[in-house]
Amino acid sequence: MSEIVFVNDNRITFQGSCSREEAAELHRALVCRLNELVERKAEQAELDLRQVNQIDACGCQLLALFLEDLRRHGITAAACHLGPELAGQISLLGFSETFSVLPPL
Amino acid sequence: MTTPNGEQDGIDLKRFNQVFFEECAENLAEMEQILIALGECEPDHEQLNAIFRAAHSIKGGAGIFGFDDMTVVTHVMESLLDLLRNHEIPFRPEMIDLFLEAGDAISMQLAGHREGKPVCQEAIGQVRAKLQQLAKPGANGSGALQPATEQALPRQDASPLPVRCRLTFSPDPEIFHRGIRIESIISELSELALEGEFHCRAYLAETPELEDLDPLRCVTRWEFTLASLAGREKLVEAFMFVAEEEQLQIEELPWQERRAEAAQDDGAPEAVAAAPPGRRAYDSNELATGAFGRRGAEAESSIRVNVGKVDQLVNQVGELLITQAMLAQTAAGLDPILHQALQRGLAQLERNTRDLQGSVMSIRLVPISMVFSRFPRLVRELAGKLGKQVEFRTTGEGTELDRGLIEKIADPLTHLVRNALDHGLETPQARFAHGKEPAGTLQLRASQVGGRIVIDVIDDGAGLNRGRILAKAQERGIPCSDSMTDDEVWQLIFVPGFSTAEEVTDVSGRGVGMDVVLKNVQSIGGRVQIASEAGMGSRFTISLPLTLAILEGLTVAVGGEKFIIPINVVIESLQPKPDQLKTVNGRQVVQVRGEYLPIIRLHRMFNLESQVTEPELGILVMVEGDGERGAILVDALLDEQQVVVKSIETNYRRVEGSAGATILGDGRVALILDLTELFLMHKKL
Repeated sequence: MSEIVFVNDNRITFQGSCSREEAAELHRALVCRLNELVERKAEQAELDLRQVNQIDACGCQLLALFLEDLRRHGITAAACHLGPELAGQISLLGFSETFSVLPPL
Repeated sequence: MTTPNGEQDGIDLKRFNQVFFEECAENLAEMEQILIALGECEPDHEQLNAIFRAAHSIKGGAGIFGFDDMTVVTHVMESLLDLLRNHEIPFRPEMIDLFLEAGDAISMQLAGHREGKPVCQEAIGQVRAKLQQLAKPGANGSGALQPATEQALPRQDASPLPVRCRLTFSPDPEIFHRGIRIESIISELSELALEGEFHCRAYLAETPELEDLDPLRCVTRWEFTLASLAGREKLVEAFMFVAEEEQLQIEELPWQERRAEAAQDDGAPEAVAAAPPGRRAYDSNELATGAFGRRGAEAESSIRVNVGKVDQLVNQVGELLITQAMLAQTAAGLDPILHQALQRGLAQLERNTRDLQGSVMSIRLVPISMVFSRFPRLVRELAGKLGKQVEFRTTGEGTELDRGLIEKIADPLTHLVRNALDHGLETPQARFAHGKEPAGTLQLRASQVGGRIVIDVIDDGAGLNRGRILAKAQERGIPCSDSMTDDEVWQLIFVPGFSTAEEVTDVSGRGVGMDVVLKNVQSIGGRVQIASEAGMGSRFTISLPLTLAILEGLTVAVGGEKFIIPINVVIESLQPKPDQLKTVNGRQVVQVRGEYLPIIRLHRMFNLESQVTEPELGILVMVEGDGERGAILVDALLDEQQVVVKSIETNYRRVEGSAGATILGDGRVALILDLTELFLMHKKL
């Protein structure tokens, strides 16, 4: 898993795998982006998953918690640009609703 | 991150994997048992289902715990079994051998993960290829083997009424830490559902601050709504190894609710439209009690407990026994009239502690079927190799003995069984020539006789050949004579390096065995007896103590100290007369019924000041162990009692000549004598 960071961008882009094995790394990156978005008082954010090729239940949970935390801080948040395979996996794991996929900003 | 020790992010995965390993071994054993029982016969539907369930459970567990390599053979195997179950391919006797071979391959993989043993990938690949070959059109005249997952819809002849239900899964928060792949479980569950009839919803049971969250702590709950032809048990089975009873709830739904939910689902976001994979056809017919069902039933009557915990409990009960003995000894000095109530209470305490001891010791007992179960296959294969026909029977498989003994008796028994097959039982031609049935009989029989377990290995073969044994003994320079009794002659086969086999085979006959058998059996307090009749067969009888944790001992006094002599080595005791004492090569011996026995002076060996330094002033305890006899000089015989064996090395250090220690009723520590070491020490003096 690696994160692509754009300064002052409301888009959070990850690439590679978002799985249990990368949970600690993913968690650190998400906490960092959460703090930054909250500090900047962003109104909306989107989680761009087009470059994510693998996700498991643990990864889904972390992303779902990230989105929930953003919403708790008043930031409209959703996942976007899911490929068909990733969408199928997220659906199979039951996280479709939590991710509430949005069209691109 | 996973360390070589199986520690993952601070959590020891070994503990969790162990459950899978044990279940896997049980499933393999069950599978082998059924296959062996079949012989060459075609399995019936129930037997095929049972084999299938075992393979399926192994595959499911392996997938969940991340042992993906173990799913390779099981997957092809269950696909082939499925074709057989559905009469899509005909049964062929060689399939039994192939399934056994597949079981071996899986066992090898299991040992690789469990004990780090090497895994021969070539063998795995060969088994897989053979399984696939059997399912090809040319091989069976049916359709090619398709991966089970590629089979589309359930068969119409399966369960005609699908069940609609809602499952709520509230996993253990540590489930990610344990390395369990929830996605495998969900995927398996979705495959059990009818096409388009699987819906999964994950929701966060709590939403902690992201910053404070342990990234591997699971706070998600899952709700599944599905329609399936598989039974409730099969659905529960998908959660095998990962869900406790209270973590999984199943609720059957009426079909009206399905329509309502379906309408609701139609409005689901398009981008994440559900695409459940096709389900396996065979699962539709998997209504019989499965592995998980068995687990469930067992869970009501048994629990799996770590052996270390049981040993700890045994130790604690041992301590309690010692405390009780101390109290009894103290109370013995009190006036029984004045302290009547106390005496009654202590008597009750003694009864209760003895009962408790019995109950706790019984926890360590396991049925001997754990060892016996390995022999049907061994006999089958060896008999085939040797061109012999054998009817193998076991009786008394339910006989229980200490787990520690079970592990140590397996090798000696294997050796006796191999010997019986190789040397004992004759070829069908030879048997026929002697008026016997072409098929020989080999029997393993276990029973409890008094405080010991007796295991017989009986064959109706040619019996031991007295003449050949004597001739071989003379050839090897082993002292013997024609006047020896049969029993004495039979004992010659326990001499190291002795073998009458004319040809060394890979089955037996290297002459390294019977002495090892005897040594191993003796090392656990056992004995081996032989009965044999020419032309009629042989019986090897192994007699073992029920447990190693408690020992029946003779308490003796030497120079103010107390020692325990294991009762099973004691022959007799006597106060020698001066004319019985002789000196041979500068060493004093005692003559008992024409036999000269060395006198072992404990006070010298353990550097004790003793009033009794000469045998005629004390008592000689005649002992026998490892084929040697001796006389131990002691001041007095005190008591015969059961003692709790404690490791002296753990608590102090190794003491030469002792096999451990025990705490006596007066709180003193007494050494338990190790006869073999005593003999060695005596020779060095």
